[in-house]
Amino acid sequence: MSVLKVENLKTFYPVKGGKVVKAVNNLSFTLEENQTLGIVGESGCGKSTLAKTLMALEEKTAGSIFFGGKESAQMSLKERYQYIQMVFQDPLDSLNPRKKAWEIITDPMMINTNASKKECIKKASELMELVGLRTEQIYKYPHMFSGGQRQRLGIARSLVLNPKVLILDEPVSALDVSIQAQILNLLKKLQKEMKLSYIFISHDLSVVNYIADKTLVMYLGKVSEYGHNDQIFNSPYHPYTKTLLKSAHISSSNEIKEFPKLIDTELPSPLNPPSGCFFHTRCPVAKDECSKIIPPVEIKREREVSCLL
Amino acid sequence: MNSNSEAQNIGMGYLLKEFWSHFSENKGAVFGLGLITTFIIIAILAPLISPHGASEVFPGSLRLPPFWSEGGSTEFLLGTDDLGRDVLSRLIYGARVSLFVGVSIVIISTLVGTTLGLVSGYFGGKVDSVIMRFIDILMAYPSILLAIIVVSVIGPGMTNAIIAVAIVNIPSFTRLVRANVLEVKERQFVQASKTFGAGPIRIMVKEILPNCMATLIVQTTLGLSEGILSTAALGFLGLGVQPPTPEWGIMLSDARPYIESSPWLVTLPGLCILAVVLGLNLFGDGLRDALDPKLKR
Amino acid sequence: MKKLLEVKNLSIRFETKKGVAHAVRDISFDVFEGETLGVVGESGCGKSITNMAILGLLPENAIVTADKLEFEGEDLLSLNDKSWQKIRGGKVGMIFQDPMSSLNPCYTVEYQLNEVLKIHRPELNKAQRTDKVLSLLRDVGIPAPKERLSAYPHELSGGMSQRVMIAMAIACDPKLLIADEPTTALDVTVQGQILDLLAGLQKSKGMSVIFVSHDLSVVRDITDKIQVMYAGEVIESGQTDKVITSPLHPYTKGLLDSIPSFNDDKSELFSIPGIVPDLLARPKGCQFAKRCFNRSEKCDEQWPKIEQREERTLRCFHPVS
Repeated sequence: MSVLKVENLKTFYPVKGGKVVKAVNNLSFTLEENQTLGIVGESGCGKSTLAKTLMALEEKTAGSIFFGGKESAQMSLKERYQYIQMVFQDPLDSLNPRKKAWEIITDPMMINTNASKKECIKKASELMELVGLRTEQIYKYPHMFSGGQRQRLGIARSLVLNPKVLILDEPVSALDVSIQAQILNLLKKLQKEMKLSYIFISHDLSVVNYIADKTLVMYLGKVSEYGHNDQIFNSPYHPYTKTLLKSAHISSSNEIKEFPKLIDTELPSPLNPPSGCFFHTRCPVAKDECSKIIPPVEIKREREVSCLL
Repeated sequence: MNSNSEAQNIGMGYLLKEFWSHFSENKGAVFGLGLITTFIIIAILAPLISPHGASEVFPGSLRLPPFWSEGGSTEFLLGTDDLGRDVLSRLIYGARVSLFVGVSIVIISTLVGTTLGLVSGYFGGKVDSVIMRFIDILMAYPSILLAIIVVSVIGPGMTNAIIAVAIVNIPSFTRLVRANVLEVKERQFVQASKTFGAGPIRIMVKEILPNCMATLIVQTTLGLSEGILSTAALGFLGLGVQPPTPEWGIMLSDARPYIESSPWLVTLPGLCILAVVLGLNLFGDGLRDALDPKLKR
Repeated sequence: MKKLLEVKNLSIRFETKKGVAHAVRDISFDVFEGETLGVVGESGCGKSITNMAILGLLPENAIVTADKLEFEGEDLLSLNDKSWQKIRGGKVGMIFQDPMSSLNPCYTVEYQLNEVLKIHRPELNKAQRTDKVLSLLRDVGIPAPKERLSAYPHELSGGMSQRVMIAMAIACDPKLLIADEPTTALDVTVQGQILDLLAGLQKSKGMSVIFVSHDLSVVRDITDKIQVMYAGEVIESGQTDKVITSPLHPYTKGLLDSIPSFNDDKSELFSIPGIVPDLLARPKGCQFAKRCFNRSEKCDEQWPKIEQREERTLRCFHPVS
């Protein structure tokens, strides 16, 4: 059974001048138990808004979200937060500098349960051990930890309510390479031990390729391509996916290396997206019809693609 | 560079030590702290150290000069006033009054101002507009004029003077806290606390407020000096604390007719006000530097 | 080829209340004309501080010592403020990590470029300056440069701002361009374009480039030589392709192995345990010994000297083969 199912999700923001930013525009995907869904795209593609909508930090405009078969509308926020939790990008900024490690980790517990201080401290030290922190650091403040340790604190906090799903919003992009590997290994270990499911948001394709089972490529709030990792990364269909792979210099396939360059370097304004296929203004292989027809999301070569070609 | 190694001893002791090492770099601030400490000790120990009672009248010795001038006596070290009261004793008791008045003012204005600032900054929108327009109105008047208006409405006296000056001091707290809240509420840890279900009051009090503490403490010391100064001014105008309470402002105004014949009567209370306000301002500036993480290397 | 920049035994210390922090210790390197040197290492390894020393931008409490710190044969350590200004922005250009905060939000693109020219090219008149500004914007690949002249930084995207920064850095045809993590804040699609641009400019202008990055895959594509820094020391340097394909220092190898490779191998990543040492309490021996998989007792006791081995310099007792 899927632990998270999103159907035709839309999150729109009204902005000044009566316009609307369609930050998440008709997204559908499912996340299976103990699996990882990677979400990639450039900044401004709606990745973060998607995370916020799932966490109820933003209100969805339309569509439905199912947490383990139960629709979000039928769940209290409290239930929701015990089901899904989030790890933030900036490990220092996401921890309150005036709180000690144990208070940070057990904050969700103090809000959602009646646990005593003693129970909280006990739980905090268990979790610190689980994420590879020394338990004697329990009374320290965030600035006394290194970057990688802070991210471990953030992960420990997200686990305190025993959620089934974790949203990881760029969890390693603020970290040094050697520390990145430590955190990625930790995430894999935790997933295995606790049967967690991850939504892994990142701009780093090699990291997503490494950690995810399925990947969703987003462009201006819409899905470009969505499928299993080996399809997305080894035989991409959508020109945008190919462009991303080419820019990241990671693929050894000749098709990617020889894929033509982008026409326009700039991402179009989300306030004023292009007609037809949103990517046609930059797409090196676009045809005339791409600027006129909005491509439907279709199954092509065993994955969902929205491209006319 | 890296604070991991010396982080064994944490808790208040460690934080205080850290704070002191930054604070003590600023000599002016340490001097200010010294002035304030002396002032507080004098205020607390007033009955023990003052040679006479504050309102005790010595009819035989009117307007005696300080002991070092001709005609002065060591019984009245700083001389006597026009009613024959010992100036030194009145100054010492005056410290008590100033401290009490100043602290009361700061407590009231901090509580009200901070609450308004938190609410206004956190909720934004209409709530913010209403609160900030109210604050704008308060700020549209020169502060002493506003205090005079308030006192003339509710009548003179110590309590009313405290209320008046507290109201005048509210805007600076509200604006400061609001600006701080606007900055802190965008930080990820506030978002994070929402993702595990924290409500607005918890977020304001437990997440945001502790991060405004540093600036708030600084503003409190500066507010204290402003409060003392405004109270003295009201006292001088006869609208604040009423005689015969030994208040520095009143002492100043009472001595006005004798400014040429007995200059010490005006000078001494003036110097006291100056010393305390200067001390508080120096201390406040030092606190600001020591507590501001942006200035830390 | 001529030596442009020569650095010999450079050390940078900071006197803090908690003791002396050796931010950079005993590093030596040369940059030849037309060459690109890559500098990689984790945050706090001293890469940025080294560049600041070359530009004379270190804070007052920094103590710089070096046997040699020469740019075109001129001793940088003995320069006064005025001569520094000629070097900075004139002979040496610099690009920073965050283009958005490196441009002044109060002024237009044209104004900011004009300022650079006014300082370093006083012989140009107004019309010549305007021409130069336009040609610079064209050089850095800004579409419709005329329309961008009056734009303010907030009207530009990250990639565009970085292009403007590059235009400012190359405005006076510098001999050396220092690029400090120039693509880290940018999206992957933009990153590729900026790298292409830098490589193209370097070729057409014959500049030397010092390219600082934490991202080995970026450095690999753009540099001739590479030096790996750890805790303020250069621990390995040499030809880029050689260092990357056959690293000798365990740290370099560890760094390379901790990047997820782009194949179907999903096994556990190699990760370097622990964290970098505290610069205030440096270990006696090799700085990396505590985290190293290849160490011996000697590593804890003695500080390895710089050695030449297989056409590269190395600071290690037990290189991996």
